Amino acid sequence: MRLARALLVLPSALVVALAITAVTLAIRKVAPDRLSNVRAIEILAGAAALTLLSLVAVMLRRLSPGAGTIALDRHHKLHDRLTNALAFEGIAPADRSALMEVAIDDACEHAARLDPSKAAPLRAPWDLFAPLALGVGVAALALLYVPSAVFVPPQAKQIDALAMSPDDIELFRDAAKALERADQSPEMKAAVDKFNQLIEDIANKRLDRTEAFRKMEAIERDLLKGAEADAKEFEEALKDAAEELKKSELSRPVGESLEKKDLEKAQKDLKALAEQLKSGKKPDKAALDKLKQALAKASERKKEALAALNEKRNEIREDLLQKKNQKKDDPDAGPKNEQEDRLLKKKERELSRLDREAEQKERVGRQLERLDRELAKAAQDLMKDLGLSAQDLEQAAEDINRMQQEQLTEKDKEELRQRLEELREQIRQQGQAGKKRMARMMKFGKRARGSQGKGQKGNGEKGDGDKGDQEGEDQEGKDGEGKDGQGKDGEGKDGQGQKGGGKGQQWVIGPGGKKMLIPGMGQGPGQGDMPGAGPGQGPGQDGPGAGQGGKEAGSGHDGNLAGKRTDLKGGTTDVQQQGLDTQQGPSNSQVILSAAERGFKGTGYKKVFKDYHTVAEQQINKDQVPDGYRFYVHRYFQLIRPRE
Amino acid sequence: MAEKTKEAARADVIEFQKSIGELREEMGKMIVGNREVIDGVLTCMLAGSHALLEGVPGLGKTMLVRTMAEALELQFARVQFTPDMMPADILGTTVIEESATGAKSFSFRKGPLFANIVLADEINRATPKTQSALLEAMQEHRVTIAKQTYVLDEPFFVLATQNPLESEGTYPLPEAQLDRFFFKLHVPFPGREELNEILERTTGNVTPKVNAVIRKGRILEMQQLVREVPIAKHVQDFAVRLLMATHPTTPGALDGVKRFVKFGSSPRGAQALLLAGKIRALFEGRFAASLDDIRAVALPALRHRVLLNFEGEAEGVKTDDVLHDILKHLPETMK
Repeated sequence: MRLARALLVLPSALVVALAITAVTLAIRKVAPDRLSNVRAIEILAGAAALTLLSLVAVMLRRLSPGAGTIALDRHHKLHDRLTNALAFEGIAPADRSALMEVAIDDACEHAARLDPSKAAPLRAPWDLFAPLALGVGVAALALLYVPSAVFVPPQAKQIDALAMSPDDIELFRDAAKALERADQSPEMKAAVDKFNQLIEDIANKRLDRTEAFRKMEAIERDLLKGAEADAKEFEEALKDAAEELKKSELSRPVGESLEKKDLEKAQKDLKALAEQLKSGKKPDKAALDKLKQALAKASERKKEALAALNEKRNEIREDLLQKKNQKKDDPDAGPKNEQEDRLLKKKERELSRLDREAEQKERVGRQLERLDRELAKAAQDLMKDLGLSAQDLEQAAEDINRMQQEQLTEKDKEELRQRLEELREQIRQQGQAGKKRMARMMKFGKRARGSQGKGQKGNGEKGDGDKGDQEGEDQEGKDGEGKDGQGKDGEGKDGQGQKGGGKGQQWVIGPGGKKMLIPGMGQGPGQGDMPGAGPGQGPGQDGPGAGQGGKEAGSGHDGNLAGKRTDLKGGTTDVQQQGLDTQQGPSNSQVILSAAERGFKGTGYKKVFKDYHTVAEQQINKDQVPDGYRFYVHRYFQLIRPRE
Repeated sequence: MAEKTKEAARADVIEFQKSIGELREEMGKMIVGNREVIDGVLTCMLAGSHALLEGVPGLGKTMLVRTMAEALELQFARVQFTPDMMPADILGTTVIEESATGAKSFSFRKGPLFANIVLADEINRATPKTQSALLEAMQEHRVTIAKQTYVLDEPFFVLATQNPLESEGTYPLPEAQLDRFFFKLHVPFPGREELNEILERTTGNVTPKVNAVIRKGRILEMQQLVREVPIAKHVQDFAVRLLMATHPTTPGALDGVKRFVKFGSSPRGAQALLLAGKIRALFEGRFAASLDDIRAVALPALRHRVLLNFEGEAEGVKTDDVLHDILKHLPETMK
């Protein structure tokens, strides 16, 4: 009976639970972000539990007294015989009437045919169709696919990121690291930091070409703020001072050092002079007079120059003013006025130039002000007290030391500017070469680290030997000729790879847009050829020069160098020194060959590289090597540098 | 003794059922159908009470009562109530009688009320004064005239009738008077088959004769047996709850009761329910009343005791509808 009662309640309980389920499913389908999966499951579980609990509660509810007998009476149509009998049975026998007894007996007579199971049958509730229908609906809802609105975050603007080979990135990172010093000026540090950031941005592909060039230009602009002009002006001023100081025997060493721009030596010479004056070994009067004059003139030279410049500026300014007033008074001069206008403009340009020059001189003047002051004071004190003068000279030496530090900063700036120039050129040429060149550079970088041990035979395939930033592919290094070390698609793009010149020579656009003549393969520095074909070296296979990537060190050199033969004018003594070949360790050529095969690693290779690099740098600095060549030589040695 | 009493009790019930069966059969010779009305009338008689019949004229109400009187060998009187009827017309009057010697004396002449079974036709047509004279006699089973009390012969059973069609010039029985009737029975119009049967019996040349099957003494015994029938607690409780449910002020009363019922049944209604339930159990040869017995007698026992309010009357709600609604929602047992 309890179960039957629960069955009666079942449809209602199911309807409630299914309604909750339907709402939960609907929310999950339409707005999944408002209801998490876990929470939905909790709700469904709660609904199911609620249904079960309600059924259990109904089942456990106390049945009305006599419910069982009433059900039996109903089913068997006993007209409450059993129920009445049970009720009469509860009365004390003494209080029962005869008819009660008879009623009890009557009920007992019917008890034999009682069937309790049939009296309380389990019938499916008639209103079960409602939850069934709702269940079907819920199932359909569960299977329903509702495309959810996917929030697509705004995509960052794609840029055509600038790609650079990891090898080159490492190169510039090392360069930036080398530029970092603790004693740098804040200006220099900021510039180095910007350069570092630029390299990192390129490495992380955060910049496109335009942005990279813009950043480089910004860094360069900061570095070049009057620096070049100031440096030249500074050198001029030092030169002037040096000229005057050389006139005295005592200060000649200082003058010579200043003339050579060797500030460190000049500082030492000045200190030595101060020591000499302090030492008590008083020089003769004539020498002291000459020294005094030299010191005085050295301190005043630039003032005179600046004064002369200012005078000239004033003259031109007054002249301009006069002419402008004249023009105002006579506006209708006609053709004559045009000529006057041209002259006026020329005067204005001249005045601008002089203003700039004066500004530079003033800047330099500020730099040298202390030195001039100390030199002047030293000159004055020379006649009074040698000790005082010596102190002044020591102060001047300190000033020179300070200027040296500043020069170092300028050196660093110059170096950073060169790095920027290299970077700019690389990016420019990379953009022209395309993806194939990048792929070759990538491969070359791997091989340089020793990841690919292939011997390279100067065939220039697949980026091998493509060191000279030549575009396209170079294949025919075989016979040392190749196709001028140029690639297929590199030729003629920007005027590069233009065939011209002599045999195997070509005109190319080098750094800074300057045209330069590149010798052909097998001849010049291994442009388009592989590493190992250094300047003056060839692969050895096909004669001079290269393109081949030789197994041995080359023996010849390119006779088509643009520069003059080195002419050493120094007082050198030729000494013949024969090295003792102890047959220990590999030879240079072996080291180079090994590096070519197994990557540029190892202590031996480092040493060999350093030797050759030093020689190359010296030659470049000494000789009149065109900028284009310098760039490619630098590039060549960058690519074959030792790797960690 | 208990054993003997049980057997006797059982025999009594069997005899009762047998007697009722004979009576029904005898009455069935004259009356076609109307089984419920017959049982209702018999119930009222066996309960020692009176019945109110409501039906259109010509449905055999007089025939029914007369037949019952003949079958029970009881004295029958019929009173046709009219508006000019006086109480003396039904109670009796005192007349002057002259003896053989010529001496004159007052003599009370008994009215029709002094029968065992009285048919009071169209009681609602009599004046309230006359009605109350009848109803007082129904209640007291005695008549007091000129300071003389006359006890009515037992069994005394009044069957009053009302015509539902004519209301003009009538004096509806007040509620207090209606409450004295045990049952209010509706005499339905016969169906087609019943009508055919009636015509065959009444328009032919053969008139069935009704024999007396139950004597006066037997009726009294039967009335006594009715009182002996036991009622279980749950049955009595059901009757009480049924009665309480007719009151609009009862907590948990149905909306229909609250809305349409002015007053619910008096405790006489519960008495009627239980007695009628017992009688019905005996009719079926059972020894105790059941819930179904109470349900079966609820309408005739209560329909004239539940008063509708103006809204109920205006809505055309019938007390039977209200009682049906109560019976539908009333649980059989309470926790």
